[in-house]
Amino acid sequence: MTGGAAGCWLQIGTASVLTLGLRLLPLVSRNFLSDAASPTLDRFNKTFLACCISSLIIALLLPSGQPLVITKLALMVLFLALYLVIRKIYDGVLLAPALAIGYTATRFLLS
Amino acid sequence: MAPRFITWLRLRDAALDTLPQMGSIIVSFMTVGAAARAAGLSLVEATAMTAFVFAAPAQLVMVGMVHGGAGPGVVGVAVLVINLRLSFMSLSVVSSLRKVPVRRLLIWCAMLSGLSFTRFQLTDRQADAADDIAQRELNLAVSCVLLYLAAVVSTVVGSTLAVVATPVWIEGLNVMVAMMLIGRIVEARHDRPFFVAAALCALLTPVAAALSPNFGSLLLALSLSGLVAATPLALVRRQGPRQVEKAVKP
Repeated sequence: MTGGAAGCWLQIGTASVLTLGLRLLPLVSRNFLSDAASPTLDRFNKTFLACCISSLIIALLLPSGQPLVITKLALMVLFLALYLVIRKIYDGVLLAPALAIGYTATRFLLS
Repeated sequence: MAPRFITWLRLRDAALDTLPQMGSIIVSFMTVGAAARAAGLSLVEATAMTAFVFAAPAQLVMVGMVHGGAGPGVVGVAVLVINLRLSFMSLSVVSSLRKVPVRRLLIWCAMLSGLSFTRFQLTDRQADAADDIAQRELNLAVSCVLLYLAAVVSTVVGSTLAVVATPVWIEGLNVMVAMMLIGRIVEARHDRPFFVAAALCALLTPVAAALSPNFGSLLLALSLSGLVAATPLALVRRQGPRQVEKAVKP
């Protein structure tokens, strides 16, 4: 961390206050809201969540600033495809961790 | 949520409904903890960040910016843009639970996350019975509290484990998170706007990130979501009043 501990606390504090403000802001306008939930707002929320999720997937798999290694990428795609195929038969909570361990083991073997 | 309404059975059912989402939150916040530690934040700083911010995408961006030496102003703007969605989610919760006292809503909204919101059913307050609203509030409350606690504990674990983590270990963790997230998108494939927006965003993210490393994908997500949300309204205006009902109803 280049910012130093004091700078880091300042950033955490700023982010905390702003996030809490965003979460609680609608409570202030509570009395001015209409009775029904807005379908447009609902659609926006859902779509924004979809966009955030897919952006996060790309950011996780292709971190910026790192060289694109084709074998690594191919292995990732292979394990993601395996996950999608296997979850049709078994969709338990252990599937993703088990495949991730398999991926890590394969990477260790290949490196 | 009247006290007589809360029973162990209802609490247990609400907790069991939340369990499938735990995996997602545990993995996400372990990643946050590991990334924070790798960026030089201490265990206390990483845990405080989750306890007070509690928004994984914003925290991941924040960690990168802090590591790069960004000041509180820049970090604040980025967090504001990324977490704007929390305000919309909170607005939907508040408008659907208007009969619930403000003090309780304050707590649920402060601990609201995208995962809790996806489980929350939007309601028209005129149409629902008091018990239905109490059940929805109970589900939301249990989900918010459990996911919040899981996030804080996972950050501690992720941050502690990061000391012994290797790049390949982190990569494995990222692949696991990606698997779970892709699973969520595939589950929602019947919801066409959700699926189309996710696919478009995934395709365009590398371009947007190349154009603007910090804000590119956020601006892309915001503009795509706005476009998808506003499309039915634009169609209504174009087709005239006759097709209004057809265009609005799914």
